[in-house]
Amino acid sequence: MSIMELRDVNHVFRRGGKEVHAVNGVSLSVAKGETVAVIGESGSGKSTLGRIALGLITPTSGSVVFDGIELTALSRKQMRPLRSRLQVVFQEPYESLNPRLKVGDIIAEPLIIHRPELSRAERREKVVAMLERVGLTAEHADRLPRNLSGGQQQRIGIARAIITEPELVILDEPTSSLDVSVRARVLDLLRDLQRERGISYVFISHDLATVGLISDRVAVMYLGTVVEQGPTQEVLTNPRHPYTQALMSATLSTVVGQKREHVPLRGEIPNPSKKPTKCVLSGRCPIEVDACSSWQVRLAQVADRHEVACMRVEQEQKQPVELGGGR
Amino acid sequence: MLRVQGLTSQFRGRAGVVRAIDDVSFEVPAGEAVGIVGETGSGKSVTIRSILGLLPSYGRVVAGSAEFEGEDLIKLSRTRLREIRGARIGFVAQNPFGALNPVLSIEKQFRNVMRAHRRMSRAELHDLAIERLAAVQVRGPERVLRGYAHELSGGMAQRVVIALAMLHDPPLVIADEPTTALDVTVQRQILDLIDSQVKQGGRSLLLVTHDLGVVAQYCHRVVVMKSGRVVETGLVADVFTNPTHEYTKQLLDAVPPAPWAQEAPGLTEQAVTSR
Repeated sequence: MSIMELRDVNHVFRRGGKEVHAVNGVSLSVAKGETVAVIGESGSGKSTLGRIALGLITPTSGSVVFDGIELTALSRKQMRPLRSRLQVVFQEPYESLNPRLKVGDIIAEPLIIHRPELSRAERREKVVAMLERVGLTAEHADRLPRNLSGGQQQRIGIARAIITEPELVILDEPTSSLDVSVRARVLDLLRDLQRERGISYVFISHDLATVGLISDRVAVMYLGTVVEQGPTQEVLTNPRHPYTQALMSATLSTVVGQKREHVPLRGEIPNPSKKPTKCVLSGRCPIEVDACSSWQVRLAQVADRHEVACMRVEQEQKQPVELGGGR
Repeated sequence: MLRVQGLTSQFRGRAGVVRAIDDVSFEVPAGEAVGIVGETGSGKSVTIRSILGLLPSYGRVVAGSAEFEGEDLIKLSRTRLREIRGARIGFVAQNPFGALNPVLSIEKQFRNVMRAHRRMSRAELHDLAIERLAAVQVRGPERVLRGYAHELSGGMAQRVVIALAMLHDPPLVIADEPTTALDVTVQRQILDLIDSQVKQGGRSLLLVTHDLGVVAQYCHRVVVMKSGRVVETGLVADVFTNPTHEYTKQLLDAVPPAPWAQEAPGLTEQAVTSR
């Protein structure tokens, strides 16, 4: 059963008379206890999608259903009781913590709002238990965020998110600003918490290697559009969209001499001000043909639950013998 | 090419004097690429800023030397150091928009960099700038020269910075996290570009990065730093396959394998048992 269901979500930002098509026709579902990774570079719309899933942004069109409740129809007030069940961890831990509050007060804040029946002592008890659960100690409760390391700050961000026992947590690049050695331990913590509590995660990232370690399914976004999605293992071992292949090949191995053939994209990500009327990768794609520029983007199944939005791949799927240079 | 010995720098702060790097020694042999890796606060950037005389006002080198072409860069006067920077050592910073002047046209910046070390007529310089921009695969170099930094994408701006750093054909190029501010698919283009520019000119490269993958794929030698000290140094092929220092091992272990090299990605099993 799915805890979150996004259906044909579109979002257009209007800024100074200009339109930015941040999310185009994205459908995504997250099952209970599952981690779905949304991967993309800056400007891919992945963070906007995260905010839409959180109910922080009402999309221009489309439906966002959390545990059977349509979020887009709710007022701010109606949304409030749901916030304890739907939480978020941000990329920059320090930026997301109130610098004037002590760590204990930061973690207690969601309880004051969502569990007003708790006494001060009960709250304190829960906060200390949570600090210990995320690998800190009771002693940290009286410290200020700036006196902690990046990894510790992110643990506090995680503690604050899960203290209300949410069913879904949106993790927006939670490890990107951390050093590698710290990153691995924070990922371990997230994994353990999920196993213990059956939380669902939407893991927003630009790093395919991290996504491979933590997610069950992955959706690859480019210019607001999902270009490939499927079970993580299937997508990472058999990437079909040229954009996914380019992203994969851009990750450098630390094993000397272990080099993957580079799938180069031309140029850089274009401005998303126009709603795409053709393949989003058109103009950068290494396997582009003339017909691509008039092809309407759509996902087509290439394997069990594995979908790709590429005309070349779609044709290859239909006539596997004649074509075949796409891989 | 460059020999750094016992380099030690201090920062003065509210809490007193802090030793940012301590007894740092390494060499950059001619024609080789050396990577300095470390995490936040390891002193990797302070090391190259000490070498280049670019420490902030509250920092200073208190011991050690950095020998380059027969001179100790640490002991040189500001004027002499300025003659070397740009002409003999090219520098590529992390943020291209910080390196480029926002209010001067790109052509004017080429002119300034040229004039700092050599006289050249405007027409000659214009042709050279076009040629150099084409060499770093900047599309529409004429238009880019007339324009300003803010009109460029991050990747294009970094290409311009690389062209400027190479303008005087320096035998040594120092790059400080040159791709960290760029998108993943652009990062590799820029690394390939720096690599080819360095190799074509038979130059040496000193590359500072937090990305062990960059060092594994682009450098001959590595200097691993932690808390201001060098913990391990050697050939990349040796250090990465057989790290002797515990910290190097930890660092290498912490990096997940490249996605295309992961055997069984995903958490499917655990997710199932949690339900």
